[in-house]
Amino acid sequence: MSAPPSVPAAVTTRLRLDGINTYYGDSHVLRDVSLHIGAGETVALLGRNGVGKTTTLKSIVGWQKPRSGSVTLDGTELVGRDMMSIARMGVSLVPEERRIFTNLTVAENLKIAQVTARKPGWTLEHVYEKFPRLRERLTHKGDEISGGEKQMLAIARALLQDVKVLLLDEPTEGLAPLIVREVENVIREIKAAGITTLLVEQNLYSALSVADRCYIIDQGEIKFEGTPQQVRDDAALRQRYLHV
Amino acid sequence: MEAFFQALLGGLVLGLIYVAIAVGLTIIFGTLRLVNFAHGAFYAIGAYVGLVIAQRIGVGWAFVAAPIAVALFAVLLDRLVLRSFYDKEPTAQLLVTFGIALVVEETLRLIFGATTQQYRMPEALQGSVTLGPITYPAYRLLFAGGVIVMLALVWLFIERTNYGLIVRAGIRDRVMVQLLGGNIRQASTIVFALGAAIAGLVGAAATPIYSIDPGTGFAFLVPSFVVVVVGGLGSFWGAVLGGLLIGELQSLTNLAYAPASNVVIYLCMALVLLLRPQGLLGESEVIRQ
Repeated sequence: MSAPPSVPAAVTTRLRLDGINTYYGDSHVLRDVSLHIGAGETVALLGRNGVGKTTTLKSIVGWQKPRSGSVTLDGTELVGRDMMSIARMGVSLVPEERRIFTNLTVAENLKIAQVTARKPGWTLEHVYEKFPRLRERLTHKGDEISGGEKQMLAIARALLQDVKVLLLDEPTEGLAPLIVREVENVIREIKAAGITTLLVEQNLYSALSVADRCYIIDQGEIKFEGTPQQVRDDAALRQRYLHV
Repeated sequence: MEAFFQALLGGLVLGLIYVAIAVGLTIIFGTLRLVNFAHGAFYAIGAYVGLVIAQRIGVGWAFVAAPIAVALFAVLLDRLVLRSFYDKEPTAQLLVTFGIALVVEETLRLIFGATTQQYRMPEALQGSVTLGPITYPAYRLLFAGGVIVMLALVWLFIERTNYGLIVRAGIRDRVMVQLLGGNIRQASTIVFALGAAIAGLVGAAATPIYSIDPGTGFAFLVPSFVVVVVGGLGSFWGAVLGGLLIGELQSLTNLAYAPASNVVIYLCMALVLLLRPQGLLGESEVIRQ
């Protein structure tokens, strides 16, 4: 592993994974994964398809229980807690397929995030200000809006809660280039708002453009920790682990 | 013509019983993914609790005690037995709920005997109402009105309350509800108790119309499953449409050719499954875990 550019001393560690091992049945998917994110940081987790990026996020939120290792949020252990408790502690996952409730309207999708929140986050007005298209689609069902709007809705749903750590899984996947730029702008605004974010992306340059630091995962192991600039400058590293 | 209208109203009353049981079945299936063959037992327990309370204390109290007793029984059943089967395959759910239904039936037989029983309504509700060319028992009309009001309240709960919102979201995606911090277990327990309470209340209220025996639960459960399949799994309005359709079909066939009145509902189900496998108002989309 390359020498890590550690979180500056003044930045407290918000989320820390120590030696996480996660399995699907007998298949050992995550092998001693360790990473940390400082408060207010945006960290990208990069890697090819099927190397354990999504499983890392699932292990954090309790969707897939690690068999060993530790996940802490501000020093509090998350392993062993259920998804609801972890969400209520402020860890919010925007999953890969967005998982909008397609039988509910956009307004109801937003409302359920408010109803289930332990503490409120952004106000609806703030959400509409940042995602004006959602206001125009309030009465549409979740399956009647575009892929970009679904992504905005999924992110907005998370932000309506008191988020300490936002986990974004492939937020630009399947979106048109113009919409990808919109999503990148949204992530920059989230970053500007000081929300700690772990971004999982296959779209390398999109991730590098917004991240403060990044990790590369391969075959379930963290292979690199460094800055976006280090990844940009190291063609061999990109070729070896990202195939770009 | 009078017989036709009598059968039409009879079909409405029977259909509303099916609707009430099927709504419980369908919201429980929608939220918990549980194929609950014990649901007919809730109807039977409600009917017997209603019978005992109506005979000893009064009919009014029967309508209060039955849904409460059945809801409590359902919560205990959920906590002690069914919860560990939510994530199991449908065969395991079917076997355990079928087993519970048999235990309930035999327990009722042990306590109350195998003979059919019924309680009489108070004098005030024993009269008839003239509706154009026909006269119809007042209690049956009151029963139909009561079930309609109850279904409207259930619909309002599902559509207009925060719990209902979590339930509807959970029908589509239980994992996402939890990822948003929603207490899906609590919502599921409430839904399970609500579905059971509806069946229990209808069981108690229908006993003056349809006499009961320990096998009553299965007698109403099977057509109610047909209703759920015809209307569409997980669909509230599907259960309403399917229940009324099956009730009327059964009642009118009974008038035309009584021996075919049970066969016709299965023919209807087969036809719907052939033409629209997801049911009349069901969705073809695969529901998430």
